[in-house]
Amino acid sequence: MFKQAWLLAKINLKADFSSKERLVSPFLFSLITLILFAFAFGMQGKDAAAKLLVAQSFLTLFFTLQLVFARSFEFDFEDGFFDLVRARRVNPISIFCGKALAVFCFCFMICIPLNLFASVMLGVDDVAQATLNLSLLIALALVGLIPLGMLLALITSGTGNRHILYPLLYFPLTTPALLSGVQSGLELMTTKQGQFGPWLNLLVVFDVIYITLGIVLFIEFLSPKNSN
Amino acid sequence: MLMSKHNKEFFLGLALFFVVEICWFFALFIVPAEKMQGEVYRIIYLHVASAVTTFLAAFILMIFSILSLRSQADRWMHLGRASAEVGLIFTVLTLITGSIWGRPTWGVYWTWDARLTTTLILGILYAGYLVLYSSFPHGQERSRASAILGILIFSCVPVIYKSVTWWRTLHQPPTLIREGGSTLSPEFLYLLIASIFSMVLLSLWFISVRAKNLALKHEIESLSV
Repeated sequence: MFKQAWLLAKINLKADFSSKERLVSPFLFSLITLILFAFAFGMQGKDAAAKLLVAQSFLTLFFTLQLVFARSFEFDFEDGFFDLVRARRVNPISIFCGKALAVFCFCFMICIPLNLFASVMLGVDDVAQATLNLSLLIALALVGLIPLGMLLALITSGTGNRHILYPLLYFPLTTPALLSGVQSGLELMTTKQGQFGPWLNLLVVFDVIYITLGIVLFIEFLSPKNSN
Repeated sequence: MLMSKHNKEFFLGLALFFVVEICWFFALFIVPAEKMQGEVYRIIYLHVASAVTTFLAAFILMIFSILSLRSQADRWMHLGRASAEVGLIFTVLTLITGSIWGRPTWGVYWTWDARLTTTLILGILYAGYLVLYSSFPHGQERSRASAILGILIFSCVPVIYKSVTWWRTLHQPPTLIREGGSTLSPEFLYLLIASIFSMVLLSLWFISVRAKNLALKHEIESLSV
């Protein structure tokens, strides 16, 4: 199962890296969003820098992820991948994990330079430490956001108005994970190192809920009885 | 003369409306005014009952979604859609009655309070479910997509319920279900429970009738094709 998942993740990452447009567009989008947020918030002084860093980074990533998630099954539907998988009875958990792993790697690759850039722009005291902390926290948030984003991409892919439907469902459904992520980030940045409160626990709880729902519902989606 | 099935359903609905009306009559004219808030507090018999029904609709939607994924029968899909419609109506009712209550107590109709915002999010999700449902033609794909979303929507309910304890909000903390029992005195509490119970039964009746209408509509459409 792990071998299948790893293989699928590699194939998906290869597809993402094969086209410059697919690789560069989320980076550019996130950069523009970050600059716009920075411009809107303005200079707030050293005290507010840590809070702004968390808010800006999560918001920017939130919008960028929507692009990455929405296209995560683009090629699969075009190539009739799921019909093939249903016919061959491939383990759906390995497909889900492989896809999720590829999306995770891609999103994490976007978030590290983004956080670094945001830390420098806001003049945070310890840029390296802030980038590392925030990146790790975002990685934890991604664990829950990715299954949810992928599921929404799956269910909206068959509709003609998916460009409207996807954000309509993605924004409200990701609110619990986003809120707990931002609040954990604020705790991490404003309290002493290593001190985590209930928000981080809540984030982990939502990660577990979304992963479980993601796998169970993905299995249902690929079930042969659900084929058209 | 024996009553037909439709007549029975009609009279059941009428009886439920009558029970709700009796609760409102007691709420407006029989129970005394509250010491702190005065007459305005009487809206809780509609507001709280609507809010509980909103959450219950999300739970029912999840149950029907699971059944829809399991058995693929159209019946579950129609019941799921009916639950989302009823859920949306009661969410709007909760927000409107909350705003009416908020004006004299908080001084504003709307504030970006955690409970209000998360309830609004639930309303948007119900609307999203209905948009998603309508985006597909009748078939397995619609059934599968809407069932998956129906299950996901319920994951938001615990956040809405706990929002008043997780965040500092204007909205009052739980008064009915809390450690150490309800803070309401019995004269208010029993009527509130009766209001909630009657509203929940009425919403179940709405769901049942609407699901039958949807099934009938589908049957007519398939015959005309």
